[in-house]
Amino acid sequence: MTREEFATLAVGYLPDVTAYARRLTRTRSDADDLVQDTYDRAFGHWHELRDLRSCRAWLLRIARNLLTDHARSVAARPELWLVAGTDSSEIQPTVSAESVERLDARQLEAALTQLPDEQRETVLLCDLWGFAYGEIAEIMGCPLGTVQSRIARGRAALVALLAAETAAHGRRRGS
Amino acid sequence: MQCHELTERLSPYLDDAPSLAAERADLEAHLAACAECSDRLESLRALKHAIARLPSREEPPGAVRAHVEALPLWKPRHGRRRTTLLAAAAAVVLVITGVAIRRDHRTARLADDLVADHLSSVPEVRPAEIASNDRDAIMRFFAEHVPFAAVVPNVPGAELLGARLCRIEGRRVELLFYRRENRTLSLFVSDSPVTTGSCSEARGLHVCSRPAGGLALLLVGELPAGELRRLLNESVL
Repeated sequence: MTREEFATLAVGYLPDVTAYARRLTRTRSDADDLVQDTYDRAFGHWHELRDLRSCRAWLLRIARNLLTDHARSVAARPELWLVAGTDSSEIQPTVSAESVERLDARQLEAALTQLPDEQRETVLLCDLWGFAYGEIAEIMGCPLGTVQSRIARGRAALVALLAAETAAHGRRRGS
Repeated sequence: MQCHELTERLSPYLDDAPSLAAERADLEAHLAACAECSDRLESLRALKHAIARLPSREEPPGAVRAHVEALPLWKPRHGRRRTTLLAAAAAVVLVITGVAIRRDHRTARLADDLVADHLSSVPEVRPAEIASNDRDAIMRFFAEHVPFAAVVPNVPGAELLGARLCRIEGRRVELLFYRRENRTLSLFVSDSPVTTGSCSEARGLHVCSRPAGGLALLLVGELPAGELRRLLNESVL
């Protein structure tokens, strides 16, 4: 791999890294700083990337590590632990697939914001960016079992939140 | 296997996690017999697809892009001078490999765009522009909208649901919807050149392509790549 090959690929992932940074940080300017820092770091260490196919995951891992190192917004962001402690081995309330399909982006984003940060991030890496569990473990620097558990709990919590929202909506319409 | 044992296993099952391989058969046997767990799985699947439809790429401000795009120009210093011939040879290699990388990147981006269009356009999510199983009616619809002779391929074992006009890489293309075994398939027909058949993956779904009569057929669906490729190869214009 040459530096030019890396550059062509890495710059192509700029919108992915931007979207990821915006989800991790509180403000657009924090996200912009994180994106620039990520690429500065990546171009300084491009030779450490062993496989071009993992370039996108590698960039996200750098972004995440920078964020952790600098204790940027994640630590400062208020976490809504509404659904923390959910034991996903218990049978949870559910919502029909049809109701989920009727959701608009704003409703889904509102539910996502109520997840604990690491559950939300893990679910998004899996479902929004399409990473496999092993890649997510690499990006987040955690064991595979933790990834699996966070995704299961995150999705169960989202379903529970959406079920509660659907029930409340039904009560409002009935009253 | 009891329902409560399944709850934490449904997500890894949905994601085809390797850790679940040993339990897959037991889990599928339970799902086949338990409507409640089966419904729960479908809710999780719908949730996964709903999240996949959210924007995964966002354009940074111009200043950030300019900063990042300038980085490749900061060449590391070399300790010795290269000959003109070596430099010229390196330039040729860079151009060739650069094209290859851009092509790989374009393929990945195209697959991602096609899957995103599939997830956000299937009739379960929003109505087709023309909801019909009448091939002639759909061909008439496309005849007015696409810059090539419209086709409506016959996908074996699949029922035609309808179609909508779509844009891929700035070109107007056909997007046809089919139903096969309770799964919706999206078939994109474009006049962009495709020389060989191939399959790739994006957002957990497969995309297969093949050339056909000067057109490109690209099939997206929630099926294994081999099955999708077989359906595409057996599709008749």
